[in-house]
Amino acid sequence: MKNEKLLRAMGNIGDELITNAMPGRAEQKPRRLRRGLAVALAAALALTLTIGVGAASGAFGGLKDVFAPAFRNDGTVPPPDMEIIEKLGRPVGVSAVDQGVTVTVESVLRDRYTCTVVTSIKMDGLDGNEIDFDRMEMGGILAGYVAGSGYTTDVVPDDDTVQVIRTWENNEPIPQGMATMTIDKVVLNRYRFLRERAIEGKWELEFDASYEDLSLDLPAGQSLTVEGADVTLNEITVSPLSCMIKHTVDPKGADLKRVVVTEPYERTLQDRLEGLECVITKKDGTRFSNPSALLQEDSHAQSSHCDSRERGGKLECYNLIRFDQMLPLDEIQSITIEGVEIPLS
Amino acid sequence: MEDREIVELYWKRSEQAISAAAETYGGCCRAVAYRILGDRRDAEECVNDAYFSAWNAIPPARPDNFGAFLVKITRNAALNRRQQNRAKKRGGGQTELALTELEECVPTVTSVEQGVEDGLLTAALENFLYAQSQPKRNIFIRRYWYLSPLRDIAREYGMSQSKVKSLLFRMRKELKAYLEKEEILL
Repeated sequence: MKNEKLLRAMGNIGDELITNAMPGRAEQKPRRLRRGLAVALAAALALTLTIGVGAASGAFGGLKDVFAPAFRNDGTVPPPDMEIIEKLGRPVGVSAVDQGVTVTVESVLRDRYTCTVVTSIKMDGLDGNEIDFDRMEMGGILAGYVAGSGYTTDVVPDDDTVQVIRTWENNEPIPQGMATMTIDKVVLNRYRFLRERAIEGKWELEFDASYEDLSLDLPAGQSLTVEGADVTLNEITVSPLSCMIKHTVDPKGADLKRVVVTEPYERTLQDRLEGLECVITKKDGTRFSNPSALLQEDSHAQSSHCDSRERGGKLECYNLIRFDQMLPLDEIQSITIEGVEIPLS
Repeated sequence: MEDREIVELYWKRSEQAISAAAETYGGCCRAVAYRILGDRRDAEECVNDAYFSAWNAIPPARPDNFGAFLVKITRNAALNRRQQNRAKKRGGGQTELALTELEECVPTVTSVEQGVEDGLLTAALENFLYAQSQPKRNIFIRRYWYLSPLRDIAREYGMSQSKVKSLLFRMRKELKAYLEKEEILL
């Protein structure tokens, strides 16, 4: 294939080009929280640490910003609703120490299909470093997740602490109960060639990730035609944090590798059928969507994952959109999937 | 540990060379292999293969830039593994998307039957890249060499994803025009 040949030719470009583009070498620093928010979050984190494990009993006052990293944190989205936070999230404050490194699970915020954990890493001289792990796995209720994403932020410079925010997603409901987090080998400055430093150790933490399931299950069973394929909507679930669509596609023998969308980037028929266009319209007219329907920057999607598996010649698909801000359900007017509008009464 | 020290360990046939290579570059190698293969176990095996290949290649080789040397071996091993796997499974990583994006750069004109060696194509790519500003060059390489997701690139370069996407779109068009001008046909 000619594109394969190009990719291989790219593989042979000079070492200098490769080295200069090494991940982590961009001059632009990773985004940071605004200073005002940083100070508030620092205070909140300190309070969380003081409260410790006992905080899990539900003392949320003044802790709103502990959950801020779970959302887009550039100051362009409204702060999360505390009443909803109290149902979906909890401060944790559980720590483990090894090799002089303290790992603390600060907070957990979740719904039926997603779970976001804010963790802090503290050690002498740790500031502004990129943090990674040889293994950062969730067990217990979160075993078997299918997708995840995360980032690191140094909320308060010179405090020897860096925050790591990770979200786990699953295409099946994540149960209630205790979650475990296991971290092996903290790696600082990963990808920065000679600045990379590994700290061998193991940190195991357990915390309660129970929550109140606020998700709404919308009427499903609608039949659609997309790019000539028959699509049946099996499940439409929306929560203040995310929207899950599960659907079955009968491609009727079509070539799933065929490119059917060229803008803003090319997508195959399979990509198109997996990621149905979904737009959530608020009563004030604001729209949330997956990037299939709107450009990523306009979509209020923090992430959007879709996938499928073939069964009996049909594709069983899921499409999970995680919002960049909290979306109170009583503010939603309707959800439109491929032009089919489903009002929320 | 610096590159030349790692290479010296290889030349001394010290097994410490492999642990030093893993300590310094293991993360980057695993990330590149994972993006190509979309499977952590396969990626880990490719990285181990790369350590083994480096052990066999040094000496006699004495790479100036050991990091790039090792990551290149890993990348090629992962591409080969992917070719073996692709019949079984649709690519789960960034590779399919990156390949699709790159395809449009290749001129479709076939009036001149011409076999192009990979070396010639690589040289043309390098010329094209060196003609770009450094940030643009690095973003292009991040996408099509490291196969980094747009989200990661956008975050690191402080740009929106759509801006990165449109920048890459323009660069691919420019690359296509450049390859056509150089009469490089595949």
